[in-house]
Amino acid sequence: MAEKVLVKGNEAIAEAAIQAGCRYFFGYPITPQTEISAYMAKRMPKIGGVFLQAESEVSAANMVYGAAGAGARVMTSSSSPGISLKAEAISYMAGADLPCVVINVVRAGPGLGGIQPAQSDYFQATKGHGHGDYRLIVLAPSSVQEIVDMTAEAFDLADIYRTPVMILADGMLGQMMEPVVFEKKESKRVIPEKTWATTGTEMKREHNVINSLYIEPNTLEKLVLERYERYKRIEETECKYEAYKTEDAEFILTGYGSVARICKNAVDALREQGIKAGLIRPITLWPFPSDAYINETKNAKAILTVEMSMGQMVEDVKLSVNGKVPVHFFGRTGGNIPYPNEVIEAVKKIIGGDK
Amino acid sequence: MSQIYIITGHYGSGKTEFSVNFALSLKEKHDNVMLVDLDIVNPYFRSHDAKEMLEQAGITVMAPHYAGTNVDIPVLPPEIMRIFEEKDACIVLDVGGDDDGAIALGRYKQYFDKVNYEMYLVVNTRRPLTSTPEEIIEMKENIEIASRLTVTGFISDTNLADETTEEIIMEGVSVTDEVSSATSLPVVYVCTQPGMTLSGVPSEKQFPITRHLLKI
Amino acid sequence: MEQVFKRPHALCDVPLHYCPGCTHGIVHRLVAEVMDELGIEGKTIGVAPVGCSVFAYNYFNCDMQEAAHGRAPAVATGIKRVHPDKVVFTYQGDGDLAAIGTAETVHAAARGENITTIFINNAIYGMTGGQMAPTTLPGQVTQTSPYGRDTKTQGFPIRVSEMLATTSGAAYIERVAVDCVKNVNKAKKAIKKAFETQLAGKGFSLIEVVSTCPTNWGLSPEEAIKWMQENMLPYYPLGVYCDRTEE
Repeated sequence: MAEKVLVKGNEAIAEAAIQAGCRYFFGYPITPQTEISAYMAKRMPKIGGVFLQAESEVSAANMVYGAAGAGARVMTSSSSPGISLKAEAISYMAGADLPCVVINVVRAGPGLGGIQPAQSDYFQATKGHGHGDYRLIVLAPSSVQEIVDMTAEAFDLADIYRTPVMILADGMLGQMMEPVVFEKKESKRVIPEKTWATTGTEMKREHNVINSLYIEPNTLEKLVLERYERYKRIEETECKYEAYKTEDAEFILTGYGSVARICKNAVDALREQGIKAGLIRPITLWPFPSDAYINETKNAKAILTVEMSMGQMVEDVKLSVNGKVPVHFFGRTGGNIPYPNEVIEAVKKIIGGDK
Repeated sequence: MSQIYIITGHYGSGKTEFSVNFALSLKEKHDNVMLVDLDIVNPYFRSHDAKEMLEQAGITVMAPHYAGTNVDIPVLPPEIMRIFEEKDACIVLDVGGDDDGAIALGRYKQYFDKVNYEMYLVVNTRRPLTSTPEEIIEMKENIEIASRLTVTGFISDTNLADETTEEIIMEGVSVTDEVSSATSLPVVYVCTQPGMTLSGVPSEKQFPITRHLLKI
Repeated sequence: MEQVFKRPHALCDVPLHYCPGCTHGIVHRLVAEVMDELGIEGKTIGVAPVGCSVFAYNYFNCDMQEAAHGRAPAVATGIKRVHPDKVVFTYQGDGDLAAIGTAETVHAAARGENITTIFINNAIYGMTGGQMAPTTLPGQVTQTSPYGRDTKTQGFPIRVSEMLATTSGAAYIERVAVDCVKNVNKAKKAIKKAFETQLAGKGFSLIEVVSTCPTNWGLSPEEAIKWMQENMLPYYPLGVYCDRTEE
């Protein structure tokens, strides 16, 4: 058993990527994730890897495209405004079926916004962002240890399904220090060989082409349909969530990332006050764990979605619940963090005073 | 003559919690105590966060212009020059992590050369990149190059946040002792948890840390 | 009978879509011949642009990646950093390289990225139907400079070779043309020298090919060549702008 060390969220991401075999990192500084670049700058040269600070987030993302197309495990990271810049490259990577890992340490927006944490990039990550029909696998860690485990998993998922994978952290998680274990777990998954990569033909095979341009509609449609078959497999097999004290819960709190930690504290406090509260914590935001909102809400009379935004995930919660249970929303924005007592107040308001 | 204590180290070593606790302990014996938050690296979790509590205890707090706001510009205010002019003060400088943070000291070299300063390197061996004597010495050298100053002692603050045990602390003490012998510099304090007494460490060196900074 | 000419192996056996009189065809052939002569097709990876030559990935027999508009030097950087022992080249037009891709181009050169860029400068945007390019000449009429490029409101053309030669990372930069046999031969020599620069690990190399676009200039191929010689060559003089290959 490897020993525990104290690590910052941002450092955990970088070290976990290296342990997952990532040897290429292209990035650009932006608060609050600059430590990822700084860590990679120190570590990569020592292990024969490549760290390159690009001239912009746009260039960095395109360097990722090139490296991914050449068959490497490669990563980039940024925060909200920089992720907007990467939208083009991510769409191109999705359209060329390229594997890579993209980290978003979310900060307040829109525009330049602020440097404090937020969760207002949920739509960007799961619904829109780049142009065209595609989905990104989106993972939402809630502790530094989970960041470590998830980053390793992200590279496997990317390679198996040939898709970019995004880890949606937030400023709080990026900056907090927690004890973790970096255990080099042998992956039980079968990672296919990258016979499609541009490594040079050596005059032994037909040339490989990495491309997303298909001007013949039927050809493009066929490709997109094939891609969506893969997405369907992902939805069927890779969905993840955590259910906390939901078995008899009458009031369900739901949130992800840092907010889920706050909600857990709120659940415990509410239970002490005799309110049967529970928590549903999505771990994959895409595929969204819709089933959780059917299976874990047997006794629920209401659901409160808590986010550091004006309400983005709440729409998916409503879709999943499909009118069965009323869904409420409580959020803070601008970089503010909802504290447990605020969440408890919001719950009580909905229930109608003290129980 | 004032005494300046510069607290540096790998970020995550516990510098900031130590700085705040140290300032409070100095206040028990001295009238004029100041804490200067010189962190140009860390956007969240800085000694400035404890400003209200420290000021209530009668400690003057100085911080970069934008500390505690949501701008990440590392502007150092001219008021900092005060620390070189204060008489009979105890001044604690909490410097940002690694050489990246220590570089903020470089511009003040000509002033530091004329005053009494102690520069303590806080060590947490449970942080990757400072877990062996070689890595710690490399960090010390990088910080000395960036700050253009000299480390005068070590603070052993090996911890795993909420999961710290006596065993973990002592593990760090033995590594820090090795560094101390190799560099001929003393281990000035060993940080402990409140209520804990370490056997094998002289009691005047034991320094309990109460956590004052914001956490979720 | 002796065969005196054939399609180079590095050029795919497919019809190229370029207009008659377009210089892309000539330059593709030269690049492919150089790949054959240096024996590097098996270890070359090319990056195609967005522009008339967007289908270059179908025309070169080596591994190819299609890049987003302007991003080819960044894509090439990613490839080269993963495979430093392979040969990586980009093939770009003036919109791709000197408009949207200016940052990527300048920084690849400044970094001394060990890649080779083939830059086709025809003073116009071909693919999208003849709009003004960063290389369009003052007074030149295009779809988006219908009264002729007015330098007061639409600025001046960019001389890419001169500009990149000021970066310390550039190792070999030459401007050539393919308007006559003599120049075609010189262009091939330049392209070969650029690839050799990369093979020797000397840094960034770029060959700017002053080219014609008969279709969007509204001129016959012969008139286009004459226009190029009379108008473009004085503004974009041919020659070597940077040669650090001996250092």
